[in-house]
Amino acid sequence: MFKGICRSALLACLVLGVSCISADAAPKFPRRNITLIVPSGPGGGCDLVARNFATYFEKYIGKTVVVSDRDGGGGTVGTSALVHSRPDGYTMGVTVIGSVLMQPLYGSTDYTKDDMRPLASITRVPSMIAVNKSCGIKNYEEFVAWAKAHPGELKISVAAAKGLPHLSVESFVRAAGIEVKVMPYKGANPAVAACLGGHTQAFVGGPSETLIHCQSGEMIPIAVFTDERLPEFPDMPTFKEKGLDISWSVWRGLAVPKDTPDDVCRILEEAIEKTVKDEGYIAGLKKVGEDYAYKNAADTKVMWNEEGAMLEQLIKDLGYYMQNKRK
Amino acid sequence: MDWNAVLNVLSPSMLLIIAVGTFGGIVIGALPGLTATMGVALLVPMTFGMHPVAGLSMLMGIYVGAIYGGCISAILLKTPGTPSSAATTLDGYPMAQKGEAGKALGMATLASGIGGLISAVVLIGMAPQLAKLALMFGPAEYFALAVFGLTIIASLSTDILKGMLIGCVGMLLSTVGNDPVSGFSRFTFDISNLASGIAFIPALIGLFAISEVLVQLDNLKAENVASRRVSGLFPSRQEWKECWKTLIRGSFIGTVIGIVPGTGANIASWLSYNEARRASKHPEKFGTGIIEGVAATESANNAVCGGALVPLLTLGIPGDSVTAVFLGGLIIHGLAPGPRLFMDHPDIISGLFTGIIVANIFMILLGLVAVRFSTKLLNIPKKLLLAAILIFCFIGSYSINQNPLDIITMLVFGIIGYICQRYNFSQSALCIAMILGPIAEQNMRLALMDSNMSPMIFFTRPISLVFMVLAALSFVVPVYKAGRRMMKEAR
Repeated sequence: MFKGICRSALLACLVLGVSCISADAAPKFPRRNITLIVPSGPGGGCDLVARNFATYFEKYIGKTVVVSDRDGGGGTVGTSALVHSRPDGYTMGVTVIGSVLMQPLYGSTDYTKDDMRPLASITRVPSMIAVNKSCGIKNYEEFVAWAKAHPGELKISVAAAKGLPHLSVESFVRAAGIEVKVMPYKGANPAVAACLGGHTQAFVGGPSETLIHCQSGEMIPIAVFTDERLPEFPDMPTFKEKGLDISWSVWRGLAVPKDTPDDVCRILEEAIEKTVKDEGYIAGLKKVGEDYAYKNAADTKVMWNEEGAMLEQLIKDLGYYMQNKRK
Repeated sequence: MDWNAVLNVLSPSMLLIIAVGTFGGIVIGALPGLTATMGVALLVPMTFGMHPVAGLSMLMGIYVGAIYGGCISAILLKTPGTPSSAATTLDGYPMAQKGEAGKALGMATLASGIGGLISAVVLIGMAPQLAKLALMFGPAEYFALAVFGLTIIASLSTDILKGMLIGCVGMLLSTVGNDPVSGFSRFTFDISNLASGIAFIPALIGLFAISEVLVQLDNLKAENVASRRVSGLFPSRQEWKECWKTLIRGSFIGTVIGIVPGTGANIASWLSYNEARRASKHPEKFGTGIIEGVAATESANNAVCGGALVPLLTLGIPGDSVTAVFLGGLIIHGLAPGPRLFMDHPDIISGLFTGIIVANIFMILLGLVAVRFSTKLLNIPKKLLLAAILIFCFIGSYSINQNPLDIITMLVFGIIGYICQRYNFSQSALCIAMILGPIAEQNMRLALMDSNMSPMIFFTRPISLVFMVLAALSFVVPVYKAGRRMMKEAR
């Protein structure tokens, strides 16, 4: 018991960012503490990922990392704060597909993805479809057949209007030539509850939300929007296997303002690469329940451009696109 | 029951952990701006290294402590420490002004304990049976519940027209931000901070606390109204007799609202207050500082804690925003909630249940101690006290997101609240409309999507129909009474 308390107290110190690790030699960068902006509230997935990362990143960057939660506006408040911070490398931010790529296309941000310089992407949460066991649908083929037989009657609950799960459904619906009703709830938990209660037939969201219900048999996994099958759901097919070329995940990464000097970015990128290989970091990530998905800065840049173009097309097709007035 | 696990929780080190959690919760709750959700969220990482039962019991202590702690500042300073104790200001603060602060706090403490313990017993005894209730609420039912809740406005206001007017203002304010169904932004004026709507906690602090400071400034020169005399803590036998029905009713309202996902302590306390008032023989005395008002709100908001755990533990669906954070804590400890949790980990379930009971008992004990100290606040000269409240309001609003706009929100709502008080509009009506407006809007639209725009969906589903009928009754009766009074006056 006592050991438990000690361990948690130690962890708390680390988490609260009061640990003092001093740099050996005095390099040019970093000379003081680094702030990591999280564009969501404390306790959420994004915050836990960031705090786990910060704990191990300190070891390799040699300075304390202060995590600062800036919730609001679907991630745009925190991301805007990152974009407008001083480009000296002392302010990094957690990036999420929604706030970096999608929100600027909805027209109410004061930034676009080009105002940031990606350092890496670190985790991803795939989107998947699961159905209520009592709706009679057992697999992907039956799902599509039922939707074709009852156009516009299949109800799918998602966590939020115009979030990535919503867009994933829309891209699937277009590719498969079916018609469904997307019901946006306020958060993933109410959306799962709606599906479990039979108020909708299906739910689209992350595996961490559906896993326990699929294990207990209340929900049946149908298909996942990734390139390869998920280890937690070995029997669930991907859309690629079913002949549809769609793949979407909510990824999280790290970025700095776009004018940050190259040499500073290089130091940060190297430290990030060491951090994501740290065993403690990987174990912590597992506890948080997000998939390890490291991509370096160059690959992340490519991903931003590819997915950005695809999302722009999709969002314009759906009529959600709004000119960014403030940009 | 796994009695070994029960005894384990009663070991000194565990009791200490729970006591620390509960005490921390009370402090978090009493400080405006810090809420139960935030307290639990900040401490989840601390439990990583603990034994699951110890960690979860500590979180439970924070939860019940924080929901309770809100009433201390609500009663003494008219500043709800958490949104769930906003309704407690209605009768708690007038009681404190009458010199009955001790009794108001004593009743609030005992009512919170009773609510917490009753809901814990319900949780322990019938969680699996009640789990189904959580899934029965679809969009139509939520909309009907919200409509029923909104009718409280009619009975809260002395002037029904003014109440409805300010209620409509609240509903309109709740439409600011991204449209919940289509996602387009409304009334945000391109301020990205407004995309998720008006920040509720700063608004609440402004509405109740800042406006009260402004009102007090007006009569600062007048004699210090708050009596220095602090009555005894424990209610008399006569008062128990008046309150016990209210306490039981409040506890059950809180438990049920807790079980229904997406609704929490801030709704439960208003509903319970309204029901207590409706059942009372002297409804006109509510709002003037009667002990039943405190008993109603505080029993209900703490009963939510046990209720909200019912769907969380049995189905893996959190009953309110605090238990949503709790879910993260459970999963991190490798405990997937659901029916299997009860079979696979009976020791942890028994331990957690014991922890909840212990946390509630600690809440009563620590609460009674805290109350003795906190009533000393009333002895502070008013000038200093007002300055201190103002500082706490600023810190509380800013610390949520370190967002300067939240302070502006707080100040704007402070002025709105001041205008309300001056011209006899009910701040509570505005507050209720802002809580229920988003629930009503989103669920009405989802229900109509579901029924292909036929409003009959609200009347063909049984639960929804019951709430609609209740709503009609609780709206028509006060309007009818007010109409008759106006006729009489006209004559």
